Amino acid sequence: MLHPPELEHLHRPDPNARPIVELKNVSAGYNGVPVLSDVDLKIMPGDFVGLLGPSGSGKTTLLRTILGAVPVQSGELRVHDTPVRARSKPAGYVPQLETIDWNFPVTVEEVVMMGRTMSNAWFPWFRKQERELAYDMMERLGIGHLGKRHIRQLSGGQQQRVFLARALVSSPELLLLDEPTAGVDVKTRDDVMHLLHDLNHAGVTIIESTHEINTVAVHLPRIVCINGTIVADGPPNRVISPHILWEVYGAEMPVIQYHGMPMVAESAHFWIDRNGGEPLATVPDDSHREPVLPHTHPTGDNVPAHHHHDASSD
Amino acid sequence: MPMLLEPFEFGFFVRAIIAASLVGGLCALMGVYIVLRGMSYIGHGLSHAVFGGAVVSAIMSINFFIGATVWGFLSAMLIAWTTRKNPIGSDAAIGIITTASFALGIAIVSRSHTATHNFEAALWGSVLAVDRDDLIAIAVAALVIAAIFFVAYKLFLFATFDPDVAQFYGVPTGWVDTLFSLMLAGTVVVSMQVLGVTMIAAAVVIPPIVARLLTNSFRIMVLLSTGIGVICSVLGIYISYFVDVSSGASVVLLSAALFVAVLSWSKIRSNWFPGSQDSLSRLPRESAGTFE
Repeated sequence: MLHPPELEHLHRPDPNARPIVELKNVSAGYNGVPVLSDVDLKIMPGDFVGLLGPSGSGKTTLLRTILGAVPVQSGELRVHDTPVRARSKPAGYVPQLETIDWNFPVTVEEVVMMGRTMSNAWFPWFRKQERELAYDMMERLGIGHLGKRHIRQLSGGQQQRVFLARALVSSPELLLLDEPTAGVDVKTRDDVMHLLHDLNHAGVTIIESTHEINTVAVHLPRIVCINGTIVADGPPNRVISPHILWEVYGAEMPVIQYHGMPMVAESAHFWIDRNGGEPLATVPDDSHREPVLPHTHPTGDNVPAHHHHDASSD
Repeated sequence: MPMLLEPFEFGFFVRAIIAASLVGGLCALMGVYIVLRGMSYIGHGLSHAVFGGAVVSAIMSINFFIGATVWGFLSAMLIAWTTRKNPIGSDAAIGIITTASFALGIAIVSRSHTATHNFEAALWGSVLAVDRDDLIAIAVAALVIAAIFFVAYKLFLFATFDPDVAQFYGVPTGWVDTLFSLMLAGTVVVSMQVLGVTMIAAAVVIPPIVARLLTNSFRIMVLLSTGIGVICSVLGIYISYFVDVSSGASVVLLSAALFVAVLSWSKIRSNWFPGSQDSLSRLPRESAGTFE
């Protein structure tokens, strides 16, 4: 459905590819207080990664760090193989819809064209060519007919597409999304996830933060669990286990298997009480847990998490 | 008919009308960005802060426009800095910094016992006393600020709508904010003489709000607000000549009346014609069923 031609030349599986994002032992935060510490993360071109973690775990901070908006206190951060401050290629960013001022007087086309602001910064208005680019992208995302609408006169899914279009109108290779499925209904959530899949197939590297464990478990090939640092990193059937979820959330979460896919059952106590006090959880593929879980020693020394890329190339 | 044209025979009145239209348009243009940034009270606060600056520059024999603009700029930057680095809301920061600055001005005036007359003019506005130099200063400020908004239109739009994300897209939001503070200080300084410290807030807030009630487009809001600002100022001054009230008060009352009229009209319109484009709150959200 969605194959932007300018993105199709992009590398998909390239064994010699350099990481598009690389964090080496990075600590980042504000006013000298780290929100994230000792983060080691490699995002390869073509990856589709979900960041999972409780509120305040540093998901958004990690996204903002990659965008160069959070001071890196120690370690090394490279995006597109350059130190982040000097990066030349743009990354698309889709903010949480909650943060948008929906009363602001802007139309859909005005928002989408904002994505081209810096391509011609000191020219007073958006040019024909930019308007065409914006409408091209809006057509691809199925909102081409809504250009003159005010942003509030849209459904949740359409609103999400407006901000996706703004992020994509500069053809970025890297797309970051902050909770793209927060507060939308089930159908819209599914549509957004399929849209992101199409983009990913067209070659866009995607990192999204989310609270919805089951959604990422079904849709994404790679999950990174965060709680101040990286707790686990790997495919869903290795990462979604009661053990790791306990490490990440500090809460008991029974995991059940449904057609080979791990799913978290909500309200653990309710189910466990009805099972005669026995834990309901089955730990999927438990033998593989070691490689994805960083060893946390009581001394606080962290051995960096293995990445599934490393693991699969062994 | 000759009676209606009578005021235009006086040089001071012609100057007043030109000054008022420039100041009204300028305040209304700045006002669009001020209101959308949720800083409506900064016009009120900053004009008080600038009063302190005006007094200090008078005591130190610095040119009023330069001294007061620098003072206003520093106050605006201080407000921005206070809210960025600390858990203090911008409304509270405006309240503290600008009132302290105003109080400083009052303290100096009350000690020095000299030249209090001019400061009263700044407090209440004296558009009829605008001289040629004032007019030139107003025209220069209006031209420069309008030119900046024109050239950097896209940057200001993005930085106002979504400052956080604008920064990710490479918009130099820090510079945009600094420039904005400087423009704000300039606007307040040249408007103070005409409208008076106490009336600036209305000239900054009412026209953009009226424009917002009438449109959903940013570009149209900018044009509409500026137009409303010019018209209300000119008419307000003109009316004040005949009914003999303070010119600043006349402009503000006229704008407020326009606001009430437009608000009532948009309410009536949205109640009786729910399908109209302007009735934002009543517009049905389109169903989510358009995904394919």
